[in-house]
Amino acid sequence: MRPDHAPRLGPACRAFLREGMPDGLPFDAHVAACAFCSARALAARKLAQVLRQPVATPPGLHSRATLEAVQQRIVEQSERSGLGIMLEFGMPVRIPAEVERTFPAGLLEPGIAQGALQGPEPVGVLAWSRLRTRVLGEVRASRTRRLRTRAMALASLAAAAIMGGLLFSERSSDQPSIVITDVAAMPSADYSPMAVLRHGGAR
Amino acid sequence: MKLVARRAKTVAFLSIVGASLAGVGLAQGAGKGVSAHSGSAPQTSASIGLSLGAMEAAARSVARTIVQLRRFFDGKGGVVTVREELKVDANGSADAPYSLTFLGVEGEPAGSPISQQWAQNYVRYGSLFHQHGGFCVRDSANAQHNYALHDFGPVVRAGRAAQRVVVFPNRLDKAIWLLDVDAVTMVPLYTAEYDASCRLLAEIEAVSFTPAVQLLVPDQRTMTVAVFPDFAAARQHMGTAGLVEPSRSFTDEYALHRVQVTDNPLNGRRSLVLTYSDGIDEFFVVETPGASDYFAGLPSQGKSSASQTNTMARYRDPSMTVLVFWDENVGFQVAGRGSLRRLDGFARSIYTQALLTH
Repeated sequence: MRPDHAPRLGPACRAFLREGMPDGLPFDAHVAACAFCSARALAARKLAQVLRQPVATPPGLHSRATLEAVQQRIVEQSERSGLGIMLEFGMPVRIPAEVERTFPAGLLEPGIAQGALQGPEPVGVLAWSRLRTRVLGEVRASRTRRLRTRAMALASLAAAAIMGGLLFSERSSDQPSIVITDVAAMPSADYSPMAVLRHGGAR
Repeated sequence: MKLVARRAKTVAFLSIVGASLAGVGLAQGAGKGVSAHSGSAPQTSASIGLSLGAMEAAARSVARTIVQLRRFFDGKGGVVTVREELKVDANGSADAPYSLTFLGVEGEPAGSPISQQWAQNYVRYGSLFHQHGGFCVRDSANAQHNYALHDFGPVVRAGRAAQRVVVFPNRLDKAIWLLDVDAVTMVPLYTAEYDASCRLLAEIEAVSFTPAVQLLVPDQRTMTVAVFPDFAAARQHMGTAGLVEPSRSFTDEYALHRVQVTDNPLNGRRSLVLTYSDGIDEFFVVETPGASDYFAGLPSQGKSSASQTNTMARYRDPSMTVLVFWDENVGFQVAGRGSLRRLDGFARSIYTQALLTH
């Protein structure tokens, strides 16, 4: 709810405020007639005048003690923040004594550290040429091996097919052809137990 | 799905058999109290402990004298009923002493030509009728693997309490057996052999049954039969070349059951008879050296023929399948009950063996 003593802003007042309270047309007539807008325009002119004057730096601001105090405060604020607390618990800054005792000091010798930092020696053109030749040779040998394996597999398949064909042809030629012919009367065999059982041998 | 279909066929067949027997009265006195069970009937008859194993044991251990009617069907609607007396002096083995005596042909006067002819048949082939002519559990373990037993309830047969059962094969190209089994001794008093189309192929019906035997004189048949332990022994006994030992890889659930050598008194020829059994059903491989070539007159059988085609004759009627071929002076015959179609492949393999080895 708006308080009762608050001024009632009309559309002209809003347009004046929206445009940043400029001096001159087209708001001169409105500012002259509106107490609210004229008060705001006067205050804006005074503030602009104050802001245009540079602020003098305090004499002790550039001193070392002031800067260290600011740095100390920033560090303290960081340590009290959530990130600082998390880092304190997550990454202990103190190295345990037993670890520190057993740490191989030789790793910190200048020779090792220097070697680690120096990186590999540059490879010469001749070495690169030999390496290239060797890689190309290995690739060529691998291709030859694949071709040879395929050729052997194909030869094996062909041999198996030939052998199978020979066996099948031999077998089919050996298998006798038998034809079953249905007859209407019992064949005149010498002794037929089933015919005797069924017909008593009287047939 | 196949199992369900087979079970449905089994139930349908059993229903048809039960209904036909009850309605037609094929077996005298058998229609009383017949009750068909469902396809999931147990393997044994709970009331008397009947099983295929029990029937095998009974056939070997029960001494018996049975007067029975054996019916031969000629495939043209004609039936010859022969009355015979069977005496078995059981000793626990499958080859117990026995005698099978011809008593007469039903409806024929004694001394008639037909009666005399059948009397000669019994003198010559009596052992064949007894050993292979009816239902017999030859190997109960194999039989239980290849057949299912269905209980049809109690009946009366030959004046004795009996149990009606159907022995149904797991593969429908074999015979289906309907039995009335004596409730006390487990000996079949009635056996009927059907094919998958419910056609009656053979029948043996007991008229009287006595669980004892007196004064048994073993039969002296004009056709002598010698039994050998294996093919090699039989071949050595015959001493002829050209015989073939069939490969076992084509016989499916049938195993070599018996090796015999028969002497034919009519022409003096010997035949090697190999019997294969699945526990109940049988088929035969007969090899006869010295037999004449059945197809010698055919042009395709000449050695000069370019095609070198080998011919095998196949005779098939509802009751039997016989395949005949000839190679190198040996006549071969593969014969089984009903429409045992796998015999074609088996005969072809034997013929191939013969052609490749000779």
